[in-house]
Amino acid sequence: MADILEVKNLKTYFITKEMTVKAVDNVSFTIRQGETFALVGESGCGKSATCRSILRLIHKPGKIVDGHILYKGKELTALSQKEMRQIRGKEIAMIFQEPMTALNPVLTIGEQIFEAFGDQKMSKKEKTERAIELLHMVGIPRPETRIKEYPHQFSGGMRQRAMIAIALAAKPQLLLADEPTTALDVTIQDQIINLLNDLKAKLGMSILLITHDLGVVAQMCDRVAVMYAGHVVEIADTLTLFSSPRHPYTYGLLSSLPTGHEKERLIPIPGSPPDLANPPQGCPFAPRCRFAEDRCREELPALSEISPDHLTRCHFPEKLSEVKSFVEGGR
Amino acid sequence: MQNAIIMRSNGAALIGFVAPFFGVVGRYPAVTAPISAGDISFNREERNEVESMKKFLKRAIVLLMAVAMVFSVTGCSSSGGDTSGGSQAATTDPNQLVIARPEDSDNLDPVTQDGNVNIWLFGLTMEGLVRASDDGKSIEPWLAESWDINPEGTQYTFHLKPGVKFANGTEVTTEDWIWSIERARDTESSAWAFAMEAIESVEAPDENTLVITLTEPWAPILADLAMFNASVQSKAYYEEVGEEAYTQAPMGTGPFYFAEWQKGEYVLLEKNTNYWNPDEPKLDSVKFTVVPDDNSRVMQLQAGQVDAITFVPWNRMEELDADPDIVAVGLPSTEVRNMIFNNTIEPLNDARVRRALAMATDRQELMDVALYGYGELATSFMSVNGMYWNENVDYPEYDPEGAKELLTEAGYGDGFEITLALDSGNTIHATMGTLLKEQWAEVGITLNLETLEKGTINERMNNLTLDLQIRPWTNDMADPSQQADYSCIYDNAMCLMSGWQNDEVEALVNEAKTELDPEKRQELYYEIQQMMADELPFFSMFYIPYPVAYRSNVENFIQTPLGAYRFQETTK
Amino acid sequence: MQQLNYAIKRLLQMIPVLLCVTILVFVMMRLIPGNPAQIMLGEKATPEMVAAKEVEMGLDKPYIVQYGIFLRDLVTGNLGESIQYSIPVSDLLGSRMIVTVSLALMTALFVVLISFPLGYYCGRHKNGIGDNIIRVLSLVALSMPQFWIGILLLLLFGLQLGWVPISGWGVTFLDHVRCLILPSITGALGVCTLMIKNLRGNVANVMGMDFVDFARSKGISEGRVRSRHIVKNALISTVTLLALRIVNLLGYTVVIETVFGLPGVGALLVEAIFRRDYAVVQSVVVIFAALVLIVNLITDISYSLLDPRVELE
Repeated sequence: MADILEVKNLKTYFITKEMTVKAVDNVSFTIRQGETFALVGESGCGKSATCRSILRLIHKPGKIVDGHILYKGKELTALSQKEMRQIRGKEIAMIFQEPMTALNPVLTIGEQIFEAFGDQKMSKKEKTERAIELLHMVGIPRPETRIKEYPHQFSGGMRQRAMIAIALAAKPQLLLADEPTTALDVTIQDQIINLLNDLKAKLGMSILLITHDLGVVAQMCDRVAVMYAGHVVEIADTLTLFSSPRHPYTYGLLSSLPTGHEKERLIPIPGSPPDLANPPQGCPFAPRCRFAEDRCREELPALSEISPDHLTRCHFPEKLSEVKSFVEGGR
Repeated sequence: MQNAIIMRSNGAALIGFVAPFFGVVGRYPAVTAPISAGDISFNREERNEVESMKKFLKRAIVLLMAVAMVFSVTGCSSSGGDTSGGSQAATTDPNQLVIARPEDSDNLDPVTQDGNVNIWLFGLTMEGLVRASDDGKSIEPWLAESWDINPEGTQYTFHLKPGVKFANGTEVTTEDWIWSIERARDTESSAWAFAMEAIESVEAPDENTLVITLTEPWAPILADLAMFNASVQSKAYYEEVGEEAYTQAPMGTGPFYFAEWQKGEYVLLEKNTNYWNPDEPKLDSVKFTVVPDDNSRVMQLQAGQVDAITFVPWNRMEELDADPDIVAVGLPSTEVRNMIFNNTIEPLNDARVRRALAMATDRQELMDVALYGYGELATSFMSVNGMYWNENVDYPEYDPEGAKELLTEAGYGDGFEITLALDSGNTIHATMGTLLKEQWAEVGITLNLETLEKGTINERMNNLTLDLQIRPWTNDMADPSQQADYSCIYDNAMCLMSGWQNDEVEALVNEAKTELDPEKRQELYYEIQQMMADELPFFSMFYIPYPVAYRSNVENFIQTPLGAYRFQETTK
Repeated sequence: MQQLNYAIKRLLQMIPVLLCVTILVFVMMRLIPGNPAQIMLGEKATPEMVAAKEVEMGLDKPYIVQYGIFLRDLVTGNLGESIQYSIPVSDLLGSRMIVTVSLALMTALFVVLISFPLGYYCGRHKNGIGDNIIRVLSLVALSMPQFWIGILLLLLFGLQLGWVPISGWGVTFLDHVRCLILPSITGALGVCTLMIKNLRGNVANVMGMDFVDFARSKGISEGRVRSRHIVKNALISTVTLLALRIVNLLGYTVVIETVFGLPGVGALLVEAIFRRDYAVVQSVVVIFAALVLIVNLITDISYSLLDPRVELE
């Protein structure tokens, strides 16, 4: 399978007079055609910034300082704004977390869909037909009336569906989904996840899913990259990640998930993430890692392959193999 | 579900209209918002906001100082009267004289109007049997070429100039004369009817003669007939257009006529092509524009946008006169600036106290500071440019020691407190008030200054509830009787609103009106002036000229001391 | 249509409000000291003349009757007769309203021309050098008294440079336009500060919103992002604010008209108050009140048209 997106050594920093925040620090991963790839981590780890960097939607004072982003082999970081506009929407599209703020309140849904069609030569009638089709595809009832309505007239779940319809209007190959289910309640979450899976199958898309919810990852994703403090710390396919994590942070994340057992105590990861303006020398997770040794604090580990398709950024990944696996129900 | 935003009510909306009058416009939030950034901030975002706010304020202060310096420099240089850029061409019409004045006329019917804003224009459009001379001190024949008086002085036979026409081309007939004079006399609401009181009848034995019979020998009669309300006007025209339209444009025989009146903008007078003197006027038209703002008026003259301006602020006179393209003069006037005492209250009911206050006043200082030295110190209640003005009146002079003695004699050795009402917006009076406060303090008098609005002063003046106020007086006729009536006879206007009453002076004033011998009349008026100086019901402080400025290419700009403009020979 | 019903409702609500205004202005004018007949005739009038004038002006009748006459005339469109000019108030007001309304409109135009681009720029480049300079200058403009700014502008552009006439209204249409330029700019400056601040805030806010990025992510041109997404949203409250401020300006026209010698309603009103010209004051105040209410109504309706989230009650 060909790679649809390749991110290599991406560095996106936010540079002000007082400080430089290394939001995305040397991030690399690859998304294969047709797969759903998850970028997981807690708030502030750099996953959203990575996602926005792909479409070059970083706000000042942020800026891509180094690295490559290759879409189907094309170097996105070198494109002009005009060329970038050919990519946005038509090749790569994005959906956002909060559908209320992600939709323009003063334009109708129909108008916002039309916008996505771009410069394609279509008559008004054709556009309307296509818009109705799209809304129907995402499961919005009575689409003919709905395209004339405004975002505030839709419910939360419907808005998210509408956003998906808009994003898919120009038939992109890659969909960047920035926490699409976080703002929704659980039942709706499920619907959206199913919808995305359906659409992916129907349209042959690839999806980059940004989330902090491991449950969603389990439901949707083929492969996962875990990010911490601006770095990718582990990449593996979903099953492997859940069953045999090889990074203490991933391990900590999985441990903190409730399993539904009676009288369960949740185990959080002690400490808090580092200040991205002043990251510690060495492994960023070292201060909180119970397996940390001196080497960890001095030397930043490289992202290395410990088994086929399983990479981790840790000096001592073997320490985790001693811990019992999750799938087997152990702690 | 849907966000419903509730609309304001009408009532609240009205506050938006009222607010500016209370000066609460939303300046407050706009000004304080940058400053009220607050000191407590919990997260980095807020702290950044505060930081940037502080930076902004620092830069703001620096920039503000720079801007202030720039402004003060430009302000200084531009007020230096540099009119280098102002040499744009004058008004559009080379034969139109444009005069800017601060107030508009309100009623152009000479009989029913009241106000200098109207009166001063009538000399250009209305003419009577006689008229006041240019120096305002005597009467000359005008539309009546000559007249005979019967021995008793009760009948005047006027020989009319033939061939005079109204501006609309119709001939002036004796019917017009009779109607005009009778209307002037019989219109009850007219403030000028008093001038025609003595006229018993007006008749015309033939088309060129007018016989006016008086109820008694009346010395001022010629001056009365020279007044604007006694001018000849067209009966037919009046009946045609009606009373209301007549107030917008009357019909007379003068060198100009009222062609157009845009309220609040201008009054346009055009040349009367039917004027009985074919060589006059030289101008094609005169336009009186309304420019209430002093600065704008002066600037317009400097820029050449107007040819002349009136009511020039005293502090600009010298500067304007220094400009080679401008002439700024104080034209002789009949204006007397009086301080009116309320004679009905203590201690002002005592003539000694009034005299003491006059002696405590350093009028020269007032004149130098408030009027920039323009004007003359008054030595009589009568106008210096009026008939029978006596230069030898023994008038109170500045003498603080003498004032204190007089006060002690009157029983006010410890002084007293009194209030001067100032009309709001009048900076001259305000300056005088401030100086008076100091001057009178030296003789032990505490002077309070109270600034009141025009209408309020008006009412309180009529109710005699003011202590002191400063008011101007101007003559409307070239005879002392009007001024004497208003100043000395109680029933007219409470003696210039002073509330003073004196039978002796009243008798003299009435006598002077029926005394036909000019020498005897003069004696009477001299006596009256001295009595008024001794009693001093009000204190005449200054004779103030008319501050006028015009472009130096304007010639023969005439304004009589009575205020009337005469532009027969004016050119530009 | 929803807007139509709302408009009718509001118009009906206006009536009691205007009624209150008539009572208020009627009472206030008669409460303040000063007798119009006396003022009219001047100090050379005898008490008999004043009394006669009062009868002529109808001031001798009891207040209730005077108010009744005023109201009856008002409803039939008769605004009474001016004490000062002795002509019907409606004649007086006609041309003056044109002046004042033109002034208000041109001021609005300048506010838009000056503040909209600057406000957008400041919002787009928040805290940059340009933003700071503009903010300081607009604060300066707000703090300086209007008549002072007006005179300075007159000095520079009227006297020194001779580009515009020094005050007055002029005769031809072109004259009018030229005469309105400086007064409009003077009046606009104070309002601009508020508008720039408002638009700047709105633009800065909107720019940070997700839908702007979402729009960009669709690959539409930056110009369309600017106009349909940023500006369209930012302008909603700014336009509403503008409408309200312009109405506010009606109160300020007094100062501007006086300094620049414009024969408008503001100057007329002040003069009428001084002369206790009851008819003029009453009519002008009622008309202004009605104008304010109507403009507010239009503003509210426009607001609902601009922002689909807004529901009119």
